[in-house]
Amino acid sequence: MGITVKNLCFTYHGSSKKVLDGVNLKIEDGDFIGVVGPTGSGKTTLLYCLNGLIPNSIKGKFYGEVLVDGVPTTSCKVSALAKKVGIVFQDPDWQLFSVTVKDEVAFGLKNLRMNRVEERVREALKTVGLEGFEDAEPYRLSQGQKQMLCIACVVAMQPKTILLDEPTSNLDYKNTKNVYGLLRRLNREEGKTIVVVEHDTDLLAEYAEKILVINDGKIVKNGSKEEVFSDCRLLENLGIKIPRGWF
Amino acid sequence: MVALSTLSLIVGWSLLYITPIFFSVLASIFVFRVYRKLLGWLKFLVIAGLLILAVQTFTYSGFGFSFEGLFYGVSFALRFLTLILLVFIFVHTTPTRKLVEAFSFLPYPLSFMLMLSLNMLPRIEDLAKTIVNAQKARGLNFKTLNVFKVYPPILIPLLSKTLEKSQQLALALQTRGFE
Ligand SMILES: Nc1ncnc2c1ncn2[C@@H]1O[C@H](COP(=O)(O)OP(=O)(O)OP(=O)(O)O)[C@@H](O)[C@H]1O
Ligand SMILES: [Mg+2]
Repeated sequence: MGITVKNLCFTYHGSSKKVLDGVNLKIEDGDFIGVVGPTGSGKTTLLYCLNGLIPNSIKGKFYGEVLVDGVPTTSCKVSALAKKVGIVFQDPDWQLFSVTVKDEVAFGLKNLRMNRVEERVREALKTVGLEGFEDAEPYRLSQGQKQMLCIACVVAMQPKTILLDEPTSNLDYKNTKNVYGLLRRLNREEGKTIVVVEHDTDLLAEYAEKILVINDGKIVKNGSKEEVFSDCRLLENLGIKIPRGWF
Repeated sequence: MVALSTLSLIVGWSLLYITPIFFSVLASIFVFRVYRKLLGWLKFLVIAGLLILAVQTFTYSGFGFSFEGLFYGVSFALRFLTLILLVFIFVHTTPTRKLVEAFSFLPYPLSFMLMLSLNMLPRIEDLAKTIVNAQKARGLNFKTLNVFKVYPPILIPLLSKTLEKSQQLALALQTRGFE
Protein backbone atom coordinates (compact mmCIF):
# COMPACT_ATOMS: atom_id res chain seq x y z
CA MET A 1 0.00 0.00 0.00
CA GLY A 2 2.71 2.47 1.00
CA ILE A 3 2.41 6.20 1.35
CA THR A 4 0.96 8.48 -1.31
CA VAL A 5 1.42 12.25 -1.30
CA LYS A 6 -0.89 14.23 -3.54
CA ASN A 7 -0.38 17.87 -4.36
CA LEU A 8 0.91 18.69 -0.90
CA CYS A 9 1.43 22.34 0.05
CA PHE A 10 2.27 23.54 3.52
CA THR A 11 2.87 26.91 5.13
CA TYR A 12 3.80 27.13 8.82
CA HIS A 13 1.42 29.11 11.02
CA GLY A 14 2.48 32.72 11.22
CA SER A 15 4.71 32.58 8.16
CA SER A 16 3.92 33.34 4.54
CA LYS A 17 6.45 31.10 2.83
CA LYS A 18 5.23 27.90 1.19
CA VAL A 19 7.67 25.41 2.71
CA LEU A 20 6.22 22.57 0.64
CA ASP A 21 4.89 23.51 -2.74
CA GLY A 22 2.95 20.96 -4.76
CA VAL A 23 4.67 17.73 -3.70
CA ASN A 24 3.59 14.52 -5.40
CA LEU A 25 5.19 11.30 -4.26
CA LYS A 26 4.61 7.59 -4.01
CA ILE A 27 6.54 5.55 -1.46
CA GLU A 28 6.24 1.82 -2.09
CA ASP A 29 6.51 -0.81 0.62
CA GLY A 30 10.10 -1.94 0.99
CA ASP A 31 11.66 1.20 -0.49
CA PHE A 32 14.95 2.57 0.84
CA ILE A 33 14.77 6.25 -0.03
CA GLY A 34 17.39 8.91 0.59
CA VAL A 35 16.18 12.53 0.74
CA VAL A 36 18.67 15.24 -0.18
CA GLY A 37 18.36 18.98 -0.59
CA PRO A 38 19.87 22.26 0.57
CA THR A 39 19.28 23.59 4.09
CA GLY A 40 15.79 24.93 4.56
CA SER A 41 14.44 23.18 1.48
CA GLY A 42 11.70 21.44 3.48
CA LYS A 43 13.09 17.95 4.11
CA THR A 44 12.16 17.84 7.78
CA THR A 45 8.77 19.35 7.00
CA LEU A 46 8.15 16.60 4.44
CA LEU A 47 8.96 13.90 7.00
CA TYR A 48 6.57 15.51 9.49
CA CYS A 49 3.83 15.35 6.84
CA LEU A 50 4.42 11.64 6.21
CA ASN A 51 3.60 10.63 9.79
CA GLY A 52 0.78 13.09 10.38
CA LEU A 53 2.59 15.42 12.79
CA ILE A 54 1.68 17.99 10.15
CA PRO A 55 -1.16 18.98 10.16
CA ASN A 56 -2.41 17.18 13.28
CA SER A 57 0.06 18.62 15.80
CA ILE A 58 1.88 21.36 13.92
CA LYS A 59 -0.54 23.92 12.60
CA GLY A 60 -0.40 25.84 9.37
CA LYS A 61 -1.98 26.03 5.94
CA PHE A 62 -2.17 22.47 4.66
CA TYR A 63 -3.42 21.63 1.18
CA GLY A 64 -3.47 18.33 -0.63
CA GLU A 65 -3.40 14.88 0.86
CA VAL A 66 -1.10 12.32 2.45
CA LEU A 67 -2.42 8.77 2.39
CA VAL A 68 -0.85 6.12 4.63
CA ASP A 69 -2.07 2.71 3.48
CA GLY A 70 -4.86 4.51 1.66
CA VAL A 71 -6.07 6.45 4.71
CA PRO A 72 -5.61 10.25 4.85
CA THR A 73 -3.42 11.37 7.76
CA THR A 74 -5.96 14.06 8.60
CA SER A 75 -8.43 11.40 9.71
CA CYS A 76 -6.00 9.65 12.09
CA LYS A 77 -4.45 10.60 15.38
CA VAL A 78 -0.68 10.96 15.49
CA SER A 79 -0.54 8.29 18.18
CA ALA A 80 -2.47 5.86 15.97
CA LEU A 81 -0.23 6.61 12.99
CA ALA A 82 2.77 5.80 15.18
CA LYS A 83 1.97 2.11 14.68
CA LYS A 84 2.40 2.50 10.93
CA VAL A 85 5.04 5.20 10.50
CA GLY A 86 7.84 5.65 13.03
CA ILE A 87 10.18 8.62 13.12
CA VAL A 88 13.65 9.24 14.50
CA PHE A 89 14.15 12.98 15.06
CA GLN A 90 17.35 14.85 14.49
CA ASP A 91 18.50 15.46 18.07
CA PRO A 92 18.56 12.29 20.23
CA ASP A 93 18.84 14.23 23.49
CA TRP A 94 15.39 15.74 23.17
CA GLN A 95 13.53 12.60 22.18
CA LEU A 96 14.95 10.41 24.95
CA PHE A 97 13.39 11.30 28.27
CA SER A 98 13.15 8.17 30.39
CA VAL A 99 15.14 7.16 33.43
CA THR A 100 16.29 3.81 32.03
CA VAL A 101 16.86 2.39 28.57
CA LYS A 102 14.20 -0.28 29.01
CA ASP A 103 11.60 2.27 30.17
CA GLU A 104 12.45 4.34 27.12
CA VAL A 105 11.67 1.51 24.72
CA ALA A 106 8.64 0.35 26.69
CA PHE A 107 7.11 3.85 26.74
CA GLY A 108 5.64 3.66 23.24
CA LEU A 109 4.50 0.06 23.67
CA LYS A 110 2.61 0.88 26.85
CA ASN A 111 0.97 3.94 25.32
CA LEU A 112 -0.18 1.92 22.33
CA ARG A 113 -1.35 -0.85 24.67
CA MET A 114 0.70 -3.48 22.89
CA ASN A 115 1.12 -6.90 24.46
CA ARG A 116 4.35 -8.76 25.36
CA VAL A 117 6.05 -5.50 26.31
CA GLU A 118 9.12 -7.02 27.96
CA GLU A 119 9.72 -9.44 25.14
CA ARG A 120 9.45 -6.71 22.52
CA VAL A 121 11.78 -4.45 24.47
CA ARG A 122 14.35 -7.23 24.62
CA GLU A 123 14.01 -7.95 20.90
CA ALA A 124 14.31 -4.30 19.94
CA LEU A 125 17.42 -3.78 22.07
CA LYS A 126 18.93 -6.93 20.58
CA THR A 127 18.22 -5.69 17.05
CA VAL A 128 20.18 -2.49 17.64
CA GLY A 129 22.90 -4.16 19.71
CA LEU A 130 22.09 -2.60 23.06
CA GLU A 131 21.59 -5.79 25.07
CA GLY A 132 22.97 -5.38 28.54
CA PHE A 133 22.16 -1.65 28.68
CA GLU A 134 18.59 -2.14 29.95
CA ASP A 135 19.19 -0.26 33.19
CA ALA A 136 21.53 2.40 31.86
CA GLU A 137 20.44 6.03 31.78
CA PRO A 138 19.68 7.10 28.19
CA TYR A 139 21.18 10.58 28.61
CA ARG A 140 24.51 9.09 29.72
CA LEU A 141 24.91 6.81 26.70
CA SER A 142 27.38 7.65 23.94
CA GLN A 143 26.10 9.51 20.87
CA GLY A 144 26.14 6.32 18.81
CA GLN A 145 24.27 4.38 21.48
CA LYS A 146 21.70 7.16 21.85
CA GLN A 147 20.95 7.07 18.14
CA MET A 148 20.63 3.28 18.26
CA LEU A 149 18.26 3.60 21.22
CA CYS A 150 16.08 6.07 19.29
CA ILE A 151 15.87 3.53 16.49
CA ALA A 152 15.08 0.74 18.97
CA CYS A 153 12.18 2.79 20.37
CA VAL A 154 10.71 3.02 16.89
CA VAL A 155 11.48 -0.57 15.89
CA ALA A 156 9.77 -1.90 19.03
CA MET A 157 6.44 -0.41 17.91
CA GLN A 158 6.83 -2.39 14.66
CA PRO A 159 5.81 0.23 12.13
CA LYS A 160 5.98 -0.63 8.44
CA THR A 161 7.80 2.59 7.62
CA ILE A 162 10.67 4.27 9.48
CA LEU A 163 11.56 7.92 8.84
CA LEU A 164 14.93 9.27 9.97
CA ASP A 165 16.04 12.91 10.00
CA GLU A 166 19.81 13.18 9.55
CA PRO A 167 20.44 10.24 11.88
CA THR A 168 24.22 10.40 11.61
CA SER A 169 24.85 14.15 11.63
CA ASN A 170 26.79 13.97 14.91
CA LEU A 171 28.21 10.47 14.73
CA ASP A 172 31.71 9.35 13.85
CA TYR A 173 32.40 7.15 10.85
CA LYS A 174 32.17 3.85 12.71
CA ASN A 175 28.83 4.63 14.33
CA THR A 176 27.52 6.02 11.06
CA LYS A 177 28.36 2.71 9.37
CA ASN A 178 26.62 0.87 12.22
CA VAL A 179 23.45 2.89 11.82
CA TYR A 180 23.32 2.40 8.07
CA GLY A 181 24.14 -1.29 8.43
CA LEU A 182 21.18 -1.58 10.76
CA LEU A 183 18.90 0.31 8.38
CA ARG A 184 19.93 -2.01 5.55
CA ARG A 185 19.13 -5.08 7.68
CA LEU A 186 15.75 -3.65 8.68
CA ASN A 187 15.03 -2.95 5.02
CA ARG A 188 16.21 -6.24 3.53
CA GLU A 189 15.45 -8.74 6.27
CA GLU A 190 12.35 -7.28 7.83
CA GLY A 191 10.97 -5.53 4.77
CA LYS A 192 10.76 -2.12 6.47
CA THR A 193 10.35 0.94 4.30
CA ILE A 194 13.15 3.40 5.10
CA VAL A 195 13.06 7.12 4.32
CA VAL A 196 16.20 8.91 5.46
CA VAL A 197 17.19 12.58 5.18
CA GLU A 198 20.95 12.63 4.72
CA HIS A 199 23.53 15.19 3.65
CA ASP A 200 26.24 12.63 2.94
CA THR A 201 25.56 11.48 -0.61
CA ASP A 202 28.39 8.95 -0.42
CA LEU A 203 26.39 7.06 2.19
CA LEU A 204 23.24 7.23 0.13
CA ALA A 205 25.09 6.01 -2.95
CA GLU A 206 26.10 2.99 -0.94
CA TYR A 207 22.95 2.20 0.99
CA ALA A 208 19.84 3.80 -0.53
CA GLU A 209 17.99 2.54 -3.58
CA LYS A 210 15.98 5.61 -4.51
CA ILE A 211 16.86 9.28 -4.14
CA LEU A 212 14.54 12.21 -3.73
CA VAL A 213 15.98 15.64 -4.44
CA ILE A 214 14.05 18.50 -2.91
CA ASN A 215 14.66 22.20 -3.40
CA ASP A 216 12.58 25.14 -2.24
CA GLY A 217 9.69 22.88 -1.26
CA LYS A 218 9.49 21.15 -4.62
CA ILE A 219 10.63 17.72 -5.68
CA VAL A 220 13.10 18.42 -8.45
CA LYS A 221 14.18 14.84 -9.05
CA ASN A 222 12.93 11.46 -7.94
CA GLY A 223 14.23 8.14 -9.11
CA SER A 224 16.74 5.36 -8.68
CA LYS A 225 20.09 6.46 -7.27
CA GLU A 226 21.78 5.66 -10.59
CA GLU A 227 19.41 7.98 -12.38
CA VAL A 228 19.66 10.82 -9.86
CA PHE A 229 23.38 10.71 -9.13
CA SER A 230 24.27 10.70 -12.81
CA ASP A 231 22.48 14.05 -13.24
CA CYS A 232 25.62 15.99 -12.31
CA ARG A 233 24.28 19.32 -13.61
CA LEU A 234 21.32 19.30 -11.22
CA LEU A 235 23.33 18.27 -8.17
CA GLU A 236 26.02 20.82 -8.98
CA ASN A 237 23.41 23.58 -9.28
CA LEU A 238 21.92 22.75 -5.89
CA GLY A 239 25.32 22.48 -4.24
CA ILE A 240 24.85 18.81 -3.47
CA LYS A 241 28.02 16.77 -3.46
CA ILE A 242 28.22 14.19 -6.22
CA PRO A 243 29.13 10.90 -4.57
CA ARG A 244 32.51 9.34 -5.24
CA GLY A 245 32.63 7.18 -8.35
CA TRP A 246 29.66 8.86 -10.06
CA PHE A 247 31.46 11.50 -12.06
CA MET B 1 10.67 53.39 69.76
CA VAL B 2 9.26 50.35 71.50
CA ALA B 3 7.96 49.01 68.23
CA LEU B 4 11.31 49.57 66.68
CA SER B 5 13.27 47.69 69.31
CA THR B 6 10.75 44.83 69.29
CA LEU B 7 11.20 44.62 65.58
CA SER B 8 14.95 44.50 65.72
CA LEU B 9 14.63 41.86 68.40
CA ILE B 10 12.51 39.72 66.10
CA VAL B 11 14.89 40.29 63.24
CA GLY B 12 17.83 39.51 65.47
CA TRP B 13 16.16 36.29 66.54
CA SER B 14 15.42 35.15 63.04
CA LEU B 15 18.98 35.98 62.13
CA LEU B 16 20.28 33.91 65.01
CA TYR B 17 17.94 31.13 64.06
CA ILE B 18 18.71 31.04 60.37
CA THR B 19 22.47 31.51 60.63
CA PRO B 20 23.30 28.08 62.14
CA ILE B 21 21.05 26.40 59.58
CA PHE B 22 22.77 28.30 56.83
CA PHE B 23 26.21 27.29 57.98
CA SER B 24 25.26 23.66 58.51
CA VAL B 25 23.85 23.56 55.00
CA LEU B 26 27.02 25.18 53.77
CA ALA B 27 29.03 22.52 55.60
CA SER B 28 27.03 19.71 54.05
CA ILE B 29 28.01 21.03 50.64
CA PHE B 30 31.47 19.80 51.51
CA VAL B 31 30.29 16.62 53.18
CA PHE B 32 28.37 15.64 50.06
CA ARG B 33 31.17 16.77 47.78
CA VAL B 34 28.96 18.76 45.47
CA TYR B 35 31.09 21.90 45.75
CA ARG B 36 32.67 21.35 42.39
CA LYS B 37 29.29 21.53 40.73
CA LEU B 38 28.31 24.48 42.89
CA LEU B 39 31.38 26.45 41.91
CA GLY B 40 29.92 27.39 38.54
CA TRP B 41 26.78 28.79 40.14
CA LEU B 42 28.54 30.55 43.00
CA LYS B 43 28.76 33.95 41.38
CA PHE B 44 25.07 33.94 40.43
CA LEU B 45 24.13 32.97 43.98
CA VAL B 46 26.28 35.69 45.49
CA ILE B 47 24.83 38.29 43.13
CA ALA B 48 21.28 37.16 43.87
CA GLY B 49 22.01 37.26 47.62
CA LEU B 50 23.53 40.74 47.44
CA LEU B 51 20.61 41.95 45.34
CA ILE B 52 18.12 40.78 47.95
CA LEU B 53 20.22 42.37 50.67
CA ALA B 54 20.43 45.68 48.83
CA VAL B 55 16.74 45.83 47.98
CA GLN B 56 15.76 45.08 51.57
CA THR B 57 18.27 47.51 53.06
CA PHE B 58 17.21 50.44 50.96
CA THR B 59 13.47 49.95 50.65
CA TYR B 60 12.52 48.65 54.07
CA SER B 61 11.36 51.95 55.53
CA GLY B 62 10.70 54.11 52.53
CA PHE B 63 13.54 54.67 50.14
CA GLY B 64 16.85 55.01 51.91
CA PHE B 65 19.11 53.13 54.24
CA SER B 66 17.77 51.60 57.42
CA PHE B 67 19.24 49.23 59.98
CA GLU B 68 16.05 47.18 60.19
CA GLY B 69 16.23 46.80 56.46
CA LEU B 70 19.81 45.65 56.71
CA PHE B 71 18.84 43.04 59.29
CA TYR B 72 15.92 41.89 57.22
CA GLY B 73 18.07 41.83 54.14
CA VAL B 74 20.72 39.64 55.73
CA SER B 75 18.08 37.35 57.09
CA PHE B 76 16.23 37.06 53.77
CA ALA B 77 19.36 36.60 51.77
CA LEU B 78 20.52 33.82 54.09
CA ARG B 79 17.13 32.14 53.93
CA PHE B 80 17.14 32.34 50.17
CA LEU B 81 20.64 30.91 49.92
CA THR B 82 19.81 28.17 52.42
CA LEU B 83 16.87 27.11 50.31
CA ILE B 84 18.82 27.15 47.07
CA LEU B 85 21.72 25.25 48.59
CA LEU B 86 19.38 22.66 50.09
CA VAL B 87 17.69 22.09 46.76
CA PHE B 88 21.09 21.94 45.13
CA ILE B 89 22.38 19.28 47.54
CA PHE B 90 19.17 17.34 47.22
CA VAL B 91 19.16 17.30 43.43
CA HIS B 92 22.82 16.42 43.15
CA THR B 93 22.87 13.64 45.73
CA THR B 94 19.60 11.90 44.87
CA PRO B 95 19.43 9.84 41.67
CA THR B 96 16.45 10.79 39.50
CA ARG B 97 15.33 7.19 39.67
CA LYS B 98 14.95 7.36 43.45
CA LEU B 99 13.08 10.65 43.24
CA VAL B 100 10.69 9.29 40.66
CA GLU B 101 10.09 6.15 42.71
CA ALA B 102 9.31 8.26 45.75
CA PHE B 103 6.56 10.03 43.85
CA SER B 104 5.11 6.99 42.11
CA PHE B 105 2.05 7.05 44.38
CA LEU B 106 0.80 10.00 42.33
CA PRO B 107 -1.56 9.39 39.39
CA TYR B 108 0.34 8.42 36.24
CA PRO B 109 0.11 11.71 34.29
CA LEU B 110 1.39 13.62 37.31
CA SER B 111 4.24 11.28 38.15
CA PHE B 112 5.12 11.15 34.47
CA MET B 113 5.28 14.94 34.25
CA LEU B 114 7.45 15.02 37.34
CA MET B 115 9.77 12.37 35.90
CA LEU B 116 9.94 14.27 32.65
CA SER B 117 10.82 17.61 34.19
CA LEU B 118 13.38 16.12 36.58
CA ASN B 119 14.95 14.17 33.78
CA MET B 120 15.13 17.19 31.50
CA LEU B 121 17.00 19.28 34.08
CA PRO B 122 20.49 17.97 33.21
CA ARG B 123 19.84 18.70 29.54
CA ILE B 124 18.88 22.28 30.31
CA GLU B 125 21.92 22.60 32.56
CA ASP B 126 24.17 21.37 29.74
CA LEU B 127 22.47 23.75 27.34
CA ALA B 128 23.15 26.61 29.76
CA LYS B 129 26.81 25.63 29.97
CA THR B 130 27.09 25.56 26.19
CA ILE B 131 25.54 29.00 25.93
CA VAL B 132 27.77 30.42 28.67
CA ASN B 133 30.84 29.06 26.89
CA ALA B 134 29.66 30.35 23.53
CA GLN B 135 29.10 33.83 24.95
CA LYS B 136 32.49 33.74 26.67
CA ALA B 137 34.06 32.81 23.35
CA ARG B 138 32.35 35.84 21.85
CA GLY B 139 33.86 38.04 24.51
CA LEU B 140 31.06 38.40 27.06
CA ASN B 141 32.73 39.65 30.22
CA PHE B 142 31.70 37.63 33.24
CA LYS B 143 33.91 39.60 35.57
CA THR B 144 31.55 42.54 35.56
CA LEU B 145 28.88 42.40 38.24
CA ASN B 146 26.42 44.26 36.05
CA VAL B 147 23.56 41.76 35.94
CA PHE B 148 21.87 43.62 33.11
CA LYS B 149 24.89 42.92 30.96
CA VAL B 150 25.53 39.34 32.04
CA TYR B 151 22.07 37.81 32.31
CA PRO B 152 20.28 38.67 29.03
CA PRO B 153 22.87 37.13 26.66
CA ILE B 154 22.59 33.91 28.68
CA LEU B 155 18.92 33.81 29.57
CA ILE B 156 17.40 34.85 26.25
CA PRO B 157 19.04 32.13 24.14
CA LEU B 158 18.54 29.62 26.95
CA LEU B 159 14.84 30.39 27.12
CA SER B 160 14.26 30.31 23.38
CA LYS B 161 16.31 27.12 22.95
CA THR B 162 14.51 25.41 25.82
CA LEU B 163 11.18 26.42 24.32
CA GLU B 164 12.18 25.10 20.90
CA LYS B 165 13.49 21.85 22.35
CA SER B 166 10.43 21.31 24.52
CA GLN B 167 8.27 21.56 21.41
CA GLN B 168 10.51 18.95 19.85
CA LEU B 169 10.05 16.80 22.94
CA ALA B 170 6.27 17.17 22.73
CA LEU B 171 6.39 15.91 19.14
CA ALA B 172 8.57 12.97 20.19
CA LEU B 173 6.08 12.03 22.93
CA GLN B 174 3.20 12.05 20.47
CA THR B 175 4.98 9.88 17.94
CA ARG B 176 5.38 7.34 20.72
CA GLY B 177 1.69 7.15 21.32
CA PHE B 178 1.43 9.64 24.19
CA GLU B 179 -1.73 11.72 24.07
N1 LIG C 1 8.06 25.68 13.19
C1 LIG C 1 8.33 26.48 12.15
N2 LIG C 1 7.70 27.67 12.00
C2 LIG C 1 7.96 28.46 10.96
N3 LIG C 1 8.83 28.17 9.97
C3 LIG C 1 9.49 27.01 10.04
C4 LIG C 1 9.28 26.10 11.13
N4 LIG C 1 10.07 25.03 10.96
C5 LIG C 1 10.74 25.26 9.80
N5 LIG C 1 10.39 26.42 9.26
C6 LIG C 1 10.91 26.98 7.99
O1 LIG C 1 10.58 26.10 6.95
C7 LIG C 1 11.64 25.97 6.02
C8 LIG C 1 12.00 24.52 5.82
O2 LIG C 1 12.40 23.98 7.04
P1 LIG C 1 12.84 22.47 7.19
O3 LIG C 1 13.23 22.29 8.61
O4 LIG C 1 11.79 21.57 6.67
O5 LIG C 1 14.12 22.41 6.25
P2 LIG C 1 15.20 21.25 6.09
O6 LIG C 1 15.26 20.93 4.65
O7 LIG C 1 14.91 20.17 7.03
O8 LIG C 1 16.54 21.99 6.49
P3 LIG C 1 17.81 21.46 7.29
O9 LIG C 1 18.70 20.81 6.30
O10 LIG C 1 18.40 22.72 7.84
O11 LIG C 1 17.32 20.53 8.37
C9 LIG C 1 12.78 26.80 6.56
O12 LIG C 1 12.81 28.00 5.83
C10 LIG C 1 12.41 27.06 8.00
O13 LIG C 1 12.85 28.34 8.38
MG1 LIG D 1 15.86 19.38 8.76
